Amino acid sequence: MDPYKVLGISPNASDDEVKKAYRELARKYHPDNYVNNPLADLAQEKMKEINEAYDMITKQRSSGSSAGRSQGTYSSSYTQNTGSPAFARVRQLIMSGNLDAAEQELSSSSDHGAEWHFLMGSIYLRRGWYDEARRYFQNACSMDPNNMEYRMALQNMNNTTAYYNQNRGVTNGAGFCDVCSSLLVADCCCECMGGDLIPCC
Amino acid sequence: MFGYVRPYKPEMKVRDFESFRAMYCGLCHTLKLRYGVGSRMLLSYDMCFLAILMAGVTGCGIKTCQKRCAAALFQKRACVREDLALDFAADCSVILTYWKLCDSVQDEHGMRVLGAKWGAWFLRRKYRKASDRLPDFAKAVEQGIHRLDALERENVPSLDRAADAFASIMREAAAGLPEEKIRRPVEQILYHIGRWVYITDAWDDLEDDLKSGSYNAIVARFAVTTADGLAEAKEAVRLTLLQSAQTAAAASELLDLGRSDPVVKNILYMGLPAMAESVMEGTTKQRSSRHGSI
Repeated sequence: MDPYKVLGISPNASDDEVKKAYRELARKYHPDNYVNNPLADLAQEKMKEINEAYDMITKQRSSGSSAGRSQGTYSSSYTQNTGSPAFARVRQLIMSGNLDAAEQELSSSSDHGAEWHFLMGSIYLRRGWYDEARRYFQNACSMDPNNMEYRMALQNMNNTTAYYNQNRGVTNGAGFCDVCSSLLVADCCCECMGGDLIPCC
Repeated sequence: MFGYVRPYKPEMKVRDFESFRAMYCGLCHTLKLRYGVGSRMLLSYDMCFLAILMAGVTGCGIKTCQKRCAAALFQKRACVREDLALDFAADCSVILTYWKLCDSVQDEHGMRVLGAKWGAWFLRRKYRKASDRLPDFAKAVEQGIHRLDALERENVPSLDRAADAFASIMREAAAGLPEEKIRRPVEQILYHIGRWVYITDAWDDLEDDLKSGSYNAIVARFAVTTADGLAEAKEAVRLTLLQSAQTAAAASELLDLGRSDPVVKNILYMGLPAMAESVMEGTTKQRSSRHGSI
């Protein structure tokens, strides 16, 4: 494996360039972008590849001294299991990606409580049936408004990921540039009034 | 097909736009070569996207040549030469259009039935040729269209269930890819493009369907009866479309798309949201052509 090829940079790249390329790729394949996505395993593989490449380069460059990347930063922590034991098997089936079996098991259950709706929503979410998923999560939340798991699931449905938004040119709230430009404007205003906010300009 | 899946030109580099157009012209010429002059009418942006995606995944679609454009006779345009991805997209165009027309013969009213009947008759021999070339895909499309038709007849109130029938048809186009690591992301892209197209089209047809009373997935899901009752539905539809686009985009990041990469990313990240916005705000219909060049 050529680590530079994995990171998409030339072997002459500076340390900063290496770090920048690594960060960019790590953001792209971050588990957050693949939550409830059937392709999460492929993204994880990519992530592993990138981590290995980055470690290799840093090791080569510092000729064997300590590696720069803190270990385990991007390991996923999405295994929650807070539900009732009656639905434990369904949860397991959903986690393993066996959605048809999970759906069958659920529809044969007579308990149509909040968790039932939540799990139904989770199955549809994995399938990419986003409208149905949202409907079921809404039901679960209105049946049990205090459950954090259900509320988080519904909240995630109401947003697209930051990575997608950034790539389509939509930023949420004030970006870095906004802060700078507001400071400059404030400085200009101050200068007009005889004062100065930023002495150097 | 529909013509909704197209790039967002203002954010495109000139060379990316040119490679997109060369693929579009290439598909037009391939349709003519394989199915005769008349089949150029089947040219659509959606199938051009399929060609670009497949060219990226399989690494073809590189050689270009200059050819005269059928729509602007005095201009010569760069045009991708015959290759596998274009042949595939051309065959798919014929198969999908044929079954869509057969479906319209049963569902539509008045003059449109006549048009669809004539179209299906015109395509019957070309369809036979295409289905010999892609027998599995032709069979999958036939079954999928029947499934969709059955769901529409029983007036299914689930937007996702109806969209799934159509999206599954699109997903079948990736079934022939041998390598699993490539096939799965491509299947996900095509599934969500199909879902997105179905729902966008449903929104586009909303007013007509409300008037004529034919099945519309959005009307059935939100139980709307007049065009005024759409405010709540609009937000939900906008969100669900964005989520499909996002899922398709996330899948595309897992593929090595070579030269097609910038065009595919532009379409998935910016083209789809821009088109959805313009359909939902009702500005698409004012544009002169839905299928012609940008």
